[in-house]
Amino acid sequence: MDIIIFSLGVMGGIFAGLVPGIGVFTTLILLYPLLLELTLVQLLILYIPLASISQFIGSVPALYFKIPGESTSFIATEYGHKLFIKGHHDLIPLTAIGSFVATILSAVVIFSLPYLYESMFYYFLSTKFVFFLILLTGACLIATSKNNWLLSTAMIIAGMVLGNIGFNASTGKFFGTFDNDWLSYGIPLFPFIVALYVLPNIFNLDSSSVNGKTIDNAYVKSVGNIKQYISKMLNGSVIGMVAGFVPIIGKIVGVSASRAFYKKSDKESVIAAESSNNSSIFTAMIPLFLFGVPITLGEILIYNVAETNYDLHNEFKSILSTWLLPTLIIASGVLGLILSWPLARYCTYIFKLPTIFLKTLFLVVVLGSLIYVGSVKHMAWYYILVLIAFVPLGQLLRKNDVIPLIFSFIFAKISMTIFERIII
Amino acid sequence: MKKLLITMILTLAFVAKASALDLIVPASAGGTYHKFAAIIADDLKAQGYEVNLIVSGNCVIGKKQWNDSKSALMINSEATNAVTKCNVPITKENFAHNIFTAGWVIVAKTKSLGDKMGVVSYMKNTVKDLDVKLVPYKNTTEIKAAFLAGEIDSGFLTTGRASEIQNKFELVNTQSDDKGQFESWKNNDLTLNYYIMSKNVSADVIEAIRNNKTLKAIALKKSMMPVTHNKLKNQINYLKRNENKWK
Repeated sequence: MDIIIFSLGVMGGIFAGLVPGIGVFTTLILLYPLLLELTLVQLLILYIPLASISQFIGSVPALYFKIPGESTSFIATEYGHKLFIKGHHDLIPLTAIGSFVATILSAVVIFSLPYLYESMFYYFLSTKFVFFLILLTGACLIATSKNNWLLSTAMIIAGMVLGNIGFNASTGKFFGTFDNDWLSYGIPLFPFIVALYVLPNIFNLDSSSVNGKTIDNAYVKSVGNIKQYISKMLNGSVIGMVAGFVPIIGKIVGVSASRAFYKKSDKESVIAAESSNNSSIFTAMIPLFLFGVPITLGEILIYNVAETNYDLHNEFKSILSTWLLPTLIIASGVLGLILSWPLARYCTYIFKLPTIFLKTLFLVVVLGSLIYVGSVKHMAWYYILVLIAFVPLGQLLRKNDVIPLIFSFIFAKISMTIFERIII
Repeated sequence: MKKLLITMILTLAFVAKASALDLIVPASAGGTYHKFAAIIADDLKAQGYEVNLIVSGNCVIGKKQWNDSKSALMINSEATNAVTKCNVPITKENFAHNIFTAGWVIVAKTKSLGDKMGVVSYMKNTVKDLDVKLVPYKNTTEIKAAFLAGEIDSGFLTTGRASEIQNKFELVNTQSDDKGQFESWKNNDLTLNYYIMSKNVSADVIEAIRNNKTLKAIALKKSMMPVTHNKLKNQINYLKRNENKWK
């Protein structure tokens, strides 16, 4: 039974990593009725591969097609895709190896937890620490963007305004809803990203010279290059570990900071960022296991489901004293490596399709997913309206680096909440 | 033509009978409301009822979907109903069943409240008369984290959440008989009730919810046994009186 659940987690991770706009949380929501039937250990057997493999897989569509499978894949799409198309095909194995290095390091940290003092981690939960990292990320976004700083700043402000629209459950306040019920929900991230980033990239998709032979050559070459990039992988992993403590948006903070660390080299920044997101998902679990404090949306959901039947604080303590978590993390890492490296070469077959067919295929998949997720949330038409509303902006900004706008949109509500807390 | 009309009428009648009952969750997906609703939905489906689980995302849209629905159940609480834009007045006609009652207690580093107190944002009004700076959080888990991080001196938590960190604070148990310095505080017995509202729903569905074994087991295990009154009027008065404390 546990193997079936693990396999389901792997498949969920592939799904979350491949389809743009559908992350770990949405995948868990789709599996929600099943989650209620699982034990705590089974929930972890499902969740860990799902969260891990989505990060491994996210870089594949990002590098091949400039389509972000995960919210953390934007660094790979924006700064890695162009290099990939120009012939840096070794980015696929290097990002996969970077993710694996981060996973192994995380397994070591999680394994060491019972031997560390809990109080060491208290500071990471504090509002001041989170506020500092959010400010740092804002600075990183401006400094590393390919736009001029004025445009990046304007994008960050616009993202903050748009992202704050709706009801903020943390502050209990409404912003920019104009008494419209649907606006109280806020602007959903999925159609926003599709309109602003995914559709313009699908329209601009071009044929590529990439084929199985060029990929195989790059794979062989990458093995010799590991030594050159190992320090970037390790640094990215450490940055991700620290950033992982930021609630909800830790992964994004990590990839932004990693990008800033290697700003001068797009290739190095992509490798570091792709390592970072894998380590941040695991350090984000530390407050959950040590104190019973979930800090990502996926963890909150798992926690809510499990707390009905368990005294979680004691259960997590006993789980930490076993090999379960390190084993699950390493097993997920090995599978993630296989899926995002050797098997990723088969994506080259997709490039053999006529470009017009490829564009149509991607449009159908993306728009179909959007309508499906909208329907599940009983707001398909709202998703479509938001999509239509932001398509012109996406077209207007298609030649600019829109990462500051997208990341600040994702940051908006939590930034405002943290700011309100810090001034009290 | 006659046959066609009869077929159409019968089909319509069948469709009307088979149309699903909406079970509205006026909150975000994956949270407490969603979990309780999913448990209810599973149980009703197992008994042959057709249930359409709607997770609204927030209480404003939840209220709208409640108003738009012809036949619905909705999970609600004083906390949600205290938000003006989300308020659905409880009446004899729409109150169905109280499923959980959670007590609230104050936790503090010392016997005093200190300088800053963590409180769930929608509860600010319930503690506004206490002499302490209020720091808003989204939920009690966040308050627990802030308490551990040392950025608040006290917090207002459910008894269940407080028990998770019981060795790290001085409990000022306002739910007990010994209320200490909060003897005269008006909200020293504050509770939060999760209850079901219904609209055009048959009595057997409500009865099935009342007899839901999973919900009963959770209430027992988490010390959230629902406060129930024999007379409907008294039950509604209890919830309304409680709701006013949250406003």
